[in-house]
Amino acid sequence: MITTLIAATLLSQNTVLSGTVSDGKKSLDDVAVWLEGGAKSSPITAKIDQKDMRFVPRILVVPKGSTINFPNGDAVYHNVFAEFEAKTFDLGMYPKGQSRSVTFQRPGIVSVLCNIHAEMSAYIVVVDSPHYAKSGKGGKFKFSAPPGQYTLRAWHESGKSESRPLTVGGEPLELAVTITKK
Amino acid sequence: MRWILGLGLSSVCGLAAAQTDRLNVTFSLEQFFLAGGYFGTHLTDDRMTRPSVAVESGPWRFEGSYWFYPMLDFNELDETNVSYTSGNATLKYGRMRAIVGQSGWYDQWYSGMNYVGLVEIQKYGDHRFLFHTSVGAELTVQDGPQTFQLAAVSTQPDVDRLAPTNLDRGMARWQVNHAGLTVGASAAFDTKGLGREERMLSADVRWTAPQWIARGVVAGHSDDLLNKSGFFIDVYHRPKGWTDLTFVGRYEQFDTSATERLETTTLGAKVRAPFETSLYVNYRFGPSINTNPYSGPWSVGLIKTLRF
Repeated sequence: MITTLIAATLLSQNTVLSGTVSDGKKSLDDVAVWLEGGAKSSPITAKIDQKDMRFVPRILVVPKGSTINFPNGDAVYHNVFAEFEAKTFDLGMYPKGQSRSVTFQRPGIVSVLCNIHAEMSAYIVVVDSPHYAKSGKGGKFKFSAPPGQYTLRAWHESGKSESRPLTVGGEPLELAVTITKK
Repeated sequence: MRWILGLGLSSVCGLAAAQTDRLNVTFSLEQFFLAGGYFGTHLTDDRMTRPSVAVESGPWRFEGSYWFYPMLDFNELDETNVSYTSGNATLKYGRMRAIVGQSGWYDQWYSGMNYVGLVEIQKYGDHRFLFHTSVGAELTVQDGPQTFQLAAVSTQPDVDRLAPTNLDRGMARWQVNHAGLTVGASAAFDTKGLGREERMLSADVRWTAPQWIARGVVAGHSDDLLNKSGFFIDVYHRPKGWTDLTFVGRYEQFDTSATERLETTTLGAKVRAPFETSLYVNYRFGPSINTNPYSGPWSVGLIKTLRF
């Protein structure tokens, strides 16, 4: 009960940040948006399914230290691997109903591929922050953070990104994030 | 036309299922282009097109697909079936691939080899090849790392049928998976198809480790007239630090009779190309099967899959 009250009090001190992401012309779904420079991240456990020859979700944002499971939901074998900045791994080939997991200790972008099916790809955005979101339909996103000085960052799978200073006060913020830099 | 009916049927199933549960529909179009010789049967510039649809709602799943193979003037309804899953058991009815060896669609066409193995492309008796589909029913039970399968299918070459003319081929398969190793054994028995008894036994293994995959299938078939047997061993290696390159190798043998043996070795590479495409380059050794003067040792394949 006391823990719940403390948590509720802490949450009530957070400021809601919402807005939309676009490339200047149209809104963008599946963009990772996060704040750097705040509290340390709390690891979570997440999942990327392999279903109908696709990774689901295709874009996943997780805090540093998180563990991601990769269950195979297809009737065929898959071979998940990554050779990019934040993590290098190769889970080997495994059948339907089985799963492998990977823990991501470094922030960065991880491009996940299947060594058997060239059309399968996903991205994991590992952030060093507990304050993050992924834009949904219409490029809309929403998360919260305590007041303070941060760097707002955004990343899209096209390689475009955004990074800018952001001051979060006590009032809700409505942000328009435009990502153009490569 | 019949594949269009199949796609239409999937839509009907989908609409019906949508009334009760969340519906998941996926379409794909696979295109495989091939240049190079092939055991003297066709020469160059081959192309295969395979549209498919999958509709899933709760425990029900429908999948339908069709092959268009213009160079061989061969078109056929491919895996097209309905399945129902309850707990760890799945019952499937319709057209499906044999539960013998590693004869699944993706094992054959996404390996980096331009050609399916001799074991899979040889004709056994008057029956179909392993890489074609049969019509019937199949039960799969998953028990932890073990998989048990039983099937009853028709031995008749029902090119575009969805219902079997008879169920005269029985098949059984057991598979176990531990760490990176998968071992399987299969058996098929026909009793009525040709008026004589036929048997087929097969064992297969698959081993995987980071950057490495090895797999092999051995199969033997016998009837009153002829014995056939063969095997292949594949090794795939993706160099560390490379995302787009996998080296592939295959050694295979097949005894078509007591006096004739086909033997070949294939080395090559599979390259992940732009636009989610894979390029396969193979060089085949083995003059004993290279009977056509136009059938050179090099072959290049390109597979492109679109998913909606």
